[in-house]
Amino acid sequence: MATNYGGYAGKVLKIDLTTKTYSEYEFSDKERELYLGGKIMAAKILYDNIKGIIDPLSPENILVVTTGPLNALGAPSSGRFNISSISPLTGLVCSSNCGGTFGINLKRAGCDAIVICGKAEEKTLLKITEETVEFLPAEELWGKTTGATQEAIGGKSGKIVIGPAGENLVKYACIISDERAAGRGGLGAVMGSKNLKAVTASGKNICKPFNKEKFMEINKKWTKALLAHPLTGSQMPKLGTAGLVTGMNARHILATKNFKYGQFDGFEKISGEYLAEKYLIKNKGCISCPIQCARVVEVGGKQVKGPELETLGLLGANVMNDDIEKIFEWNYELDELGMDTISAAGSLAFAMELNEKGIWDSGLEFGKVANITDIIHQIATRSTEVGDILAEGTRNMSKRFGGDEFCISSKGMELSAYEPRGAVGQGLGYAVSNRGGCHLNAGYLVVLEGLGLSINPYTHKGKATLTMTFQDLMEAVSAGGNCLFTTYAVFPGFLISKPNSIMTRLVNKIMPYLGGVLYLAGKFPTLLAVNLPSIFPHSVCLKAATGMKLNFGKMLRIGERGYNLERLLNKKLGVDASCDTLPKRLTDELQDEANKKSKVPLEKMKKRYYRARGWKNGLPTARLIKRLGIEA
Amino acid sequence: MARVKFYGLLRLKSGLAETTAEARTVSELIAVLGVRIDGLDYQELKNSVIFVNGKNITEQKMYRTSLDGDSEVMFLSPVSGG
Repeated sequence: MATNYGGYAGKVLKIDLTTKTYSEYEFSDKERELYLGGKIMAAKILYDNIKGIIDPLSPENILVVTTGPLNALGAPSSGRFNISSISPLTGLVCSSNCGGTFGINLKRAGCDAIVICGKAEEKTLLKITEETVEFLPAEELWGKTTGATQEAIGGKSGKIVIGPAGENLVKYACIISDERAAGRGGLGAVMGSKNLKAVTASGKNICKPFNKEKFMEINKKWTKALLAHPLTGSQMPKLGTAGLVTGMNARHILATKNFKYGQFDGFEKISGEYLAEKYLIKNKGCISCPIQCARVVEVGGKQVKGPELETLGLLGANVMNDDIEKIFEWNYELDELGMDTISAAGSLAFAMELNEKGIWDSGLEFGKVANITDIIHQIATRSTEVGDILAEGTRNMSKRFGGDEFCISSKGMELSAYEPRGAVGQGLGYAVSNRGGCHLNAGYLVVLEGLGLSINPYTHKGKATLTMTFQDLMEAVSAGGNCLFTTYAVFPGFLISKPNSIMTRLVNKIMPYLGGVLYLAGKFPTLLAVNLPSIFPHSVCLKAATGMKLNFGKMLRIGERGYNLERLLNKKLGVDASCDTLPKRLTDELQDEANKKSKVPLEKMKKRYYRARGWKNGLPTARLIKRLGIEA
Repeated sequence: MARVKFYGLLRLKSGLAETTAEARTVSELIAVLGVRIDGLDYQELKNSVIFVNGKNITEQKMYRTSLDGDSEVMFLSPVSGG
């Protein structure tokens, strides 16, 4: 089915591994208007196909790979794609965004998305081209690492592959494209459960923007603005996300010793500055990205992708390790074996605390690095009892051994490296997030609570509506096909480059009280029916790319629709308000005895969040579903 | 002498991780360092995120925050996200 909108390839393919057949999956232009693309398009497809609770590792589960309309058009920071499924880690909806080249190549093969269902009888490699889909044997690829698999496949096609962890159904196995990961939620295990080792895509299809001249003009200005902004033009290229370690430590939000503390004495030796001074070979980035935030470092004489902030924090401070070279090595190993660094590190830290408390002796200890490489391999291969237990993730470990109060996960997904008792809005986001313990799906309020701006990180005021707004905004940006780092320009440069100015301090003071304004704006979207090209170029760019009548308010509404749709899917999978929780360590124990506000006031914020969203018992009401135009 | 540490882009630009300086307030310290350190000027230091003894100066007396011989001052360039 073709499309009348620009930017899209106009086709979604359904591929059945059981029957080795494929057909076109109907996705109408009306649905493109409502769900745009990326993770929201995937949520719609999942919602329509998943009827209730399923075993995520059964043939009933489906894996949906989607692109956004901006992918493959050359818009800044748009070389990304999305993979969604029901997560074996959480049992709930999971989307994971990746910077590899598969998405662009999928559009070149003439597809906006693929829906993979069933289970192959034999180990399989799927080869997608403009003309056909081939089901090829992959017996010889099975057992290979992600790098070796891609090398063995060869050629210039876009690839998504799994490593041994995905084959062995590790609950947090990831999917790799080039050296980038769709990391979270165990989607690699979903591929493994389907006997699917890899998918390639290639072709010569060219997607065209609706208004090429306007599109080029917008992108030129947008790229210039990103390069001129202090965060995307300077901080991120020079220090990468690793540059956050120091600021997080200063603000008591660097997860340390399984989230017992928010500061780590050895932070300097795992910092972005230390990495840049001693180890950085060069920076690089995704296709069409002017930011170039990725690091290149050396491991064993080979130039490889350096660790992101989450990995530095969680394989550093959170396991009490200040040896950054070890983090480089583990980061590389985890990618090669095909495992999410965040959940792997969270599982290691939880095991260390279980051992420290005398509950389970896995041999893992805080600050002991000697056995971690071996144990990572044992997890990927499930070759020992310790590896097999760790491969199940923290929630399953806690079911077996106890320790709920310090099992640092939300809905079964391990938290990323931000310690939320030093940024309570981030804590709310972690708890209510559809995906679970993900900083981005949480709304990423920590950017306002210290990392970009400095609103009071300990107050509950305003956090509910700010969380909702940022969740919706990021949902829409991701669906369009952009990297979320492009949203930094939402903050005018002076707020970042002059943190001590009267204006910045005023904004920091006022922002928690903007909740009511945001709430009203959400109720009356026509108030936001404007385009703000200087701070939010996404809507004008998408308008030129697709020809849809988009503006800032409509983008927010698309994001809201996406967030609610994922929630409705989670409802089918058993979610309600009782699932929006955090471990007691974060809600009941003070991070700092001298600061009585240094814990997450979750219940208070949750009530306000549900009210702002229009949810009852943590779920969208019939009225809200109707208002959003969701066919439920 | 206050102990002064530089982080983020300030450290990469100056090539300096740490120094000491004599000053009674943050304002005085910035004036001293702005002249003394190659690669960093007064405005740049003034527009840094500044922590004195682990607390942001925006929660203290801003540039009038007092320093003594035991003070530790951190200058950070703005950070972002990951």
